[in-house]
Amino acid sequence: MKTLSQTIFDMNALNQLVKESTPDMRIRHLSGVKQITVLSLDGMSDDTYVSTQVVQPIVEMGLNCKTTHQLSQKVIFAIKCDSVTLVDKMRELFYNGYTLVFISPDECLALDTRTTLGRNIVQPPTSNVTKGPREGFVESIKVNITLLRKRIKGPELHIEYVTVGKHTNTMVAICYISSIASQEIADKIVQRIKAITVDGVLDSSYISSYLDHRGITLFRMVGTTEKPDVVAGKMLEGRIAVIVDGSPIVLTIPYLFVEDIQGPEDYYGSPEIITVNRILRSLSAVICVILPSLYVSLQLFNYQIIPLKFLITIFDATQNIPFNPLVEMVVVLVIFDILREANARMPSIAGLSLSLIGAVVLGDAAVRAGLLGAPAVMIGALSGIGLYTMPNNTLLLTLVRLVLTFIGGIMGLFGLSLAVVAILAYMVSLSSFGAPYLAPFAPDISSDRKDALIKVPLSKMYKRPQSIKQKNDTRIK
Amino acid sequence: MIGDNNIKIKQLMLLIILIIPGGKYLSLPIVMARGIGRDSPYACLILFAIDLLMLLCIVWALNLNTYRKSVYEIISSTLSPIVAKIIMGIFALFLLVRLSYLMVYSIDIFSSTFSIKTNWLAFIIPVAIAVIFMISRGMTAVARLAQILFAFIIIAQLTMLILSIPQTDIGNLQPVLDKGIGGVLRKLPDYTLWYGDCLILLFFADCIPKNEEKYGILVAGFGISAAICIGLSVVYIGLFGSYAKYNNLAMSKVSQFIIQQTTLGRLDWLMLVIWSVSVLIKIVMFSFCCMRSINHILNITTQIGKYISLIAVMVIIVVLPLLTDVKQLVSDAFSTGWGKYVFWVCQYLLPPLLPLLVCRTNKREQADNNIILNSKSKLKKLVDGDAQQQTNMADSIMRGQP
Amino acid sequence: MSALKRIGIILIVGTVLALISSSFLVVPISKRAIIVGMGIDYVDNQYVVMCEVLSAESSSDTPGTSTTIVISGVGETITDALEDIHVKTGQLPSLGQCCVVLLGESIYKYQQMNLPLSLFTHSVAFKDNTVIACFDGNACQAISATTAVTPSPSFALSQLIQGSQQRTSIPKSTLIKFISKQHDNPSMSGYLSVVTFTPDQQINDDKTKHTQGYFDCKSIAVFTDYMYAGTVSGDEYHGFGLVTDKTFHSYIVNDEQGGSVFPPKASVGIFTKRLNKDVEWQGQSITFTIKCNLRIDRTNTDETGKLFKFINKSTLPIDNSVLVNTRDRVTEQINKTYQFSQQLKCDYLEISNMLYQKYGSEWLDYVINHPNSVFEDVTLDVQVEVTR
Repeated sequence: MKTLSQTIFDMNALNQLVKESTPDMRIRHLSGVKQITVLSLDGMSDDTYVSTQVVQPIVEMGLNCKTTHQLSQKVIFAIKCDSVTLVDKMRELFYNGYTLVFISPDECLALDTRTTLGRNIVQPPTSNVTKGPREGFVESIKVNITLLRKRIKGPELHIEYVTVGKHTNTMVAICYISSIASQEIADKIVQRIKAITVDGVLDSSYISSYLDHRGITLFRMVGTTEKPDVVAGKMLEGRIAVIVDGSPIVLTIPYLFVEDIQGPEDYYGSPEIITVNRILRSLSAVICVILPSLYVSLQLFNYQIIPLKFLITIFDATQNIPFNPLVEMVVVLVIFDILREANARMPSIAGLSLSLIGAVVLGDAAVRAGLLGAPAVMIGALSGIGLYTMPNNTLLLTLVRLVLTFIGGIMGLFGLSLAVVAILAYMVSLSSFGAPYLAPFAPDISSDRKDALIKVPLSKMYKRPQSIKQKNDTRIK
Repeated sequence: MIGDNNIKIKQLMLLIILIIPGGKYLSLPIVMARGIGRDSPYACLILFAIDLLMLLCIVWALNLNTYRKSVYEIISSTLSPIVAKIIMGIFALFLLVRLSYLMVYSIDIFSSTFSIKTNWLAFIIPVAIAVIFMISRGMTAVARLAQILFAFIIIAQLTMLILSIPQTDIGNLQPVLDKGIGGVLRKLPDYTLWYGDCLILLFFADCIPKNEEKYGILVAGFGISAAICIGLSVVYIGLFGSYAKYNNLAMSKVSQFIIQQTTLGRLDWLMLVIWSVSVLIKIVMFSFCCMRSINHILNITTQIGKYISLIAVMVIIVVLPLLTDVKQLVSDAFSTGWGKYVFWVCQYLLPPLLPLLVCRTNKREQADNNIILNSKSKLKKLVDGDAQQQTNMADSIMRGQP
Repeated sequence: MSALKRIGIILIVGTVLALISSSFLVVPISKRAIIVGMGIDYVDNQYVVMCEVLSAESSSDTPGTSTTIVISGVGETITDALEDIHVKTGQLPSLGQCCVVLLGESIYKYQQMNLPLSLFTHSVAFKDNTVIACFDGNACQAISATTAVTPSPSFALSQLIQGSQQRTSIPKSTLIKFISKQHDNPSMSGYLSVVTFTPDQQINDDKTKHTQGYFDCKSIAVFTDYMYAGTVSGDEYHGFGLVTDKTFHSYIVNDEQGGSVFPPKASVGIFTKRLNKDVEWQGQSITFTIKCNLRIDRTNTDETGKLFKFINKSTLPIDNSVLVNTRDRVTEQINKTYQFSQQLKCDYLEISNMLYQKYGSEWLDYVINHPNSVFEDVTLDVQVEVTR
């Protein structure tokens, strides 16, 4: 980074910025004791703010100020202002919507006039809830931090800013509760984000790929959410949130597999009902991953296991199918994935009706035409829908399901059991910033199991999750 | 890179509960019924009692092992490195024999019970790959895997056992000790090869975290697994009576009794598959211990070297059945033959000696530490004295004195 | 990871998968002849096997209503006969779902039973709960018959012998029980149910050419050392059921309380049975004691099943005379079955085995020199206690 002393030989900071000027740069020269230059960026800076909180006070009271210090002390009170001397820092702030006020050409006052223009705060489309707060994050980092601050009111909410992206100059905020979260993990995250050298960051997913364990894991090691209450809850458990400007999705670290079983409204309902729901979710995920492969391997290798009456049904339905059961199941799974992918990209008006046509007409027609067996279609559809009970890992589990189906079709129950054990061995060996991925089940952490499959009332959860490193593990004294 | 191998005592206990019945359910009740007949549960009980004594010695030794030295280090520092290498060699052979037998029988479950027909290599290579993969993820991962699967495996195992009990005929266990206890005791040495699973604890002596002290749960775990094994032996004889010796695989024969409705199919096989995972975990544990023994013998410390030794173990297990009849070889040479006496060195001689050896190692370690501490304090004194001298000199110079 | 490494890994994985996929023998269910029941006869020195296999002939609109067809095969062994079916149909005969194996008269009466059953006993996959029964006549014809309620003879037979919800009056013998009781066992005796088929004269199923009728099972065939010894039926059969299995029995006995208000006879059923068998051996005298504690109740029109401990108490009291009469009837049946075993010289009550279990090899040494002692030197002591 160039300092003033370095730039003095070629050009001062103001000239440099003005020289780089873009069509949306606004320059105002105000004549006083010294010439005061106000630089703002059209659109990124809030025009009303600039005129009422910056220009107007300077014109009324600040024309006789000689230094930026005097300006910040006597004239500008309403908004956050900092003195900046580094050109790169000035540039970064300027393009993020700050207004720069130069009295001397080498030092400026950066005033936070970032516009809050953007999407309104609405219920996030990815996590609708019937109980609990409905606010969702938006694309503005400023609003997002405010949403977080509204929930954690105190000096212990620590926010550290890092700018990433050569061209995008995206602001990334690392937020944590300093008295709870592990400083070691926070420092590691800041370090990793600072080390990112990429030309642009357009969404938090760009950052998440750098925070993943070694960057090559199959399973996601970073949590995502669009709900500020969920982020606040996770921060209270000792996790660290990463907010990226321009993204409504906030990252939470460390991330455990069990978090995918926990729904956003699990903390606002009765523990007994939530326990039943969580057991259902995890059961459905396991069944949906294994069911197609089990069906194929039983058909091809171990028909003896199928109860006779069910076998008769399958026998009837598959007798005239031209495909091998493995091919049949793979076709069903691929068709389901095609429908899902098409549905995601369809205009929302056409989406519902077309997906209905896809599911009902395509499936029914295929069965009637004798191309696919009804049990295979049913199992494929059930397994496809059931996987959405684990929203963060749906796509990955879809892949795992397909691989298991292949192995089950080739090697039967023998291959299937080997593959499941290998996948589990892989999962238990993962860890996210020191937190074992499958905790609290492996390793077994009894106090953390109060909020895993079985949910106990909040009043009985005395400890924060032990699987995550933190400073203070007592939640209730 | 081979992952972390740290294992907590609680995890070791779960592993013991899984792996002891894991192999014993395959064929042991049949092998023992062939030799001992209806009295095989009593033989099983006696052998487990002997194993319990050995386990107590091992647990005592582990408890004393405050410096978390490996068994190889303990033996080589107290006896001699050559003795340590010989013992490791015996261990490696013992584990290889058990491994090959286990592999052959676990494949039998799938080939004969589940009628999944293929050649030996197509069966064994995926198993070998899975074993190498799991060891490469580290024993910590295997221990955690055991924690996750524990409930499922135990439920499957107990369901198969308990639901078969109503079909058993206790009369089949009579006459009790028809030929007297002597008849059973005379036959016992031929079956020692199939016991001594808790010896693998020795290979984790240096993997247990230093703050762990509750070794008693290992004995509890052993008790549970022994009870399950003896239970199976009783149920098996109760179900089959005089026909017990003619079967091939115990568990798949026992499990068929849990579903009495003909039209329900063989749903019990699903439980058998879940249970078979415990056999895989046993194979992984034995392979790891075998690899460690070979590493100690050949002084292998590099990651590549460890991988090569692991692959070598797998290659032996894959190739051996292609060259000879493993079941016959193991039975003739190691179960009833001379081989068992060699293994007794590790099974019944080493564990009682171990607490003594650990005490000696501790004393030596203590002495070494004292020497280091003494020399450190002397050095400190020397350095402090030197500094004091220099300060005094500086003071005197300041005061203008020589 | 370099591109070369990736290609290498993909090639290795692909090769391993290709090798593995071509190595495993895959038989989809559509390529299998799934046998649900089979009848075996021995004709002209050859085994004739008639199998009832699943068929998807029914319309695909109503899945789950699959019909079955019967296919026969002939061979020197049962395996040969099954292979004959394989050749004829092109589908692999699969016994994994077999519910019933019927052995025709030509086999169970004239052959050593361990020969035809060896195929099943040595298989790990063959279910022990498969019904193995003898058929009084030609087993192949029985397996191609139908019944009015259940068209499939295999399902009908399986339901008849296994019973539904444990309500059966038929003593059950499984394959393992049958084999193990005759192998290295001093009694050397096993039994199998005998099934009969009565064709219904009025109805002839012209469409399928199957004879319609009903199956019945009111006797057992007993074997000594795998050879047929005789058929136990009538009171002997009931007596055998009383002392061996958890079977349901009902009796109509005189009721002295009856008269103008109540019927003079009462129909009672056993709902709890506690059996205690013991043997005593001293010198040449053997005492075989059967203690039988029975709890009876009046049979109910809705509940005729056995062994429901919490059955509703009948409003009609049971008179002492009913208890006494029932006791006499039970004692008579047990005595008769014992006498019949002596007559057949077949130790199907397993007295010798009980003596072995109690006295060990001492008894074995004795029985070598006195092979007929269980038929000649035994005193039977039947103690029946009937309570309400």
